[in-house]
This record gives sequence, structure tokens and C-alpha cells, in this order.
Amino acid sequence: MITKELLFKKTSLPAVEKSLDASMLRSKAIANNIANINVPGYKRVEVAFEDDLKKALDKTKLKGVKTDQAHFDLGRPSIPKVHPKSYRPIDPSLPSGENDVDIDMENAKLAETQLLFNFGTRFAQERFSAIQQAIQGKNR
Amino acid sequence: MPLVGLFSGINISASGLRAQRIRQNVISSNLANAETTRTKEGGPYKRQFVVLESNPNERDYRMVFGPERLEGTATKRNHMGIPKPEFPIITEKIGAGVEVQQIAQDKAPPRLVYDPTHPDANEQGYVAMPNVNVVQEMTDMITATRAYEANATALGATKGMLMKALEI
Repeated sequence: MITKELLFKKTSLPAVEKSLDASMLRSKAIANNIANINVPGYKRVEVAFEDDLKKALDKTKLKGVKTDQAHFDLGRPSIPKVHPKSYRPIDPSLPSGENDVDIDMENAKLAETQLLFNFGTRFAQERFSAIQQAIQGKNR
Repeated sequence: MPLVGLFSGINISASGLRAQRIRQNVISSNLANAETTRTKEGGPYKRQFVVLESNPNERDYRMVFGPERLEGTATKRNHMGIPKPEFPIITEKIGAGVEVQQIAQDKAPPRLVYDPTHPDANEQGYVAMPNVNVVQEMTDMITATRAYEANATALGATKGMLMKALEI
């Protein structure tokens, strides 16, 4: 457990993990929106995540230190406590005439999510190989 | 189909593909029967259409804060307030795709065409033709095709992401 803490916790990996989680959830939301493109009155689903992560990463904010299990969180949330949340925005516009799903928007979001996910996996790969190199103590 | 796990994105897109395929089949049936004047139920063929319904199977499946999460009650003015947990349960409510609720029949009256030589013509010489509008069916067909393609793209994207995740 202590090795895990030393090796991974202080790196950017926890944030990347969360980002991958959010991308996966967002791709599901987009898939659901596209699947329901012809359902009249359907409300589209979106995922909120980046603002919460930004708050957790903001080093200028104070953060309470927990010395006991029963302590409450105070101030800036820790990264493991940040979770992507899905919600249905209140949008009275009807871009498709049937519901508030705009296929172009969804496709753009899908491409964006895919790129972000690929970035995250690449980043995690690099991190892991960097840790591996540090353990082995030699260059490739 | 509860929305749990890795492949729910693929299942959602698959439900969309299925719905659009059924829609396409119904449109094909309408076009094939655009001139059918005799059916088992009697009378001309009636235009059919699918009624799509968003699958409401949403559930919260990931508990984030355990039962130790408390909520403070301020009993004195100088007490410090402990805020209520804002999101006690993470709501990963995405929905579980789309379903064909039913295949309904169009209630519109039949199209009357004057053709006294037709064996199904009435006394005035009019034949009751199906209430199928071929132009409408064609536009519906394009919509179904495009929606199918969009679902296929979304499925491919989800698949690509899952493949990428295997590379970590």
C-alpha cells in the first residue's frame, strides 16, 4: 500500500484516471443522445467534470488535512473525490424539431471526447514507462 | 438492460442501431405496399410507423460517500455550519438507449383514386388506396439511414476508446 502511495499518488496519474473516467462516461452520454435522436421530447444528457477537477487542482485554494477517518472534508476537494456527473441541461431550443439533441454538436463532442481519451491513455502510458525507467535506473 | 459496466456505451449504440433498422424495415414495408388494396383485415394497407421511446432504465450505481458522511445541525448561533452533502450519490444517469415501443398504424383516411376498371372500386368508381405518401417515406428513409450511420459512428468511437484503454 505504501509503495502504491509512493509510486503513483504523487504523480499526475490520479487526475488522468479521473479524466479517463469522465471521457468514458461522456462517450456513453453521447451514444445515448445519438441513439435517441428520433425520440420526440427526449432530453439530452451531458457530463460535468472539468470544472470540478479544476477546483481540485487549484493550488491557491486551502485544503483541510484529515488526520482521522471521521474527519470531514474541508476546502479544496481531493482528486479521488472528484467524480464526473451526468445531468440533463434545461434547453428549450429544438435544433432537430423533435428534441434538444443536435447531431452536429454530438458528433463534435464525440470527436473531442475521443481525442481527450486518446490523450489520457497516451499520457498514462508515458507516466508508467517513466516510473518503470526510474525503477530500472537506465535509459532505453 | 441495466446500465452497468464497460460495454454499456456499445449497448446504447446497438439499441439505436436496432431501432433505426426496425424503422427502415417498416418504411420498406410501407413502400412495398404503397399500392396494396387488399389486406387480411380488409380494406387497403395502412401506413405503419414506429414509436420510439427513450429507455428510462436509469439507476445510480456507484456509491461515493459512505454512510460515515454526516450532516451537521447548528443548535447555537456560533456553531459552524456543516454543509449537507451536495451529491451524496454520484448520479451516473445516462439512460440505456432507445427502444421501439410499438409499431403503430396511421389513422389517416385512405387515398381515393378514380379507377372504375379496378375490381376494388366502389359504386362511384373510386378505389381506396393505402394512405402511404411515397415522398414522406423517402424522407423518413433518409432520416433513418443517417441516424443509423450516426449510431454506427458512435459505436465505432466507443470501441476505439476501449481499444485504446487496452494500450495503457
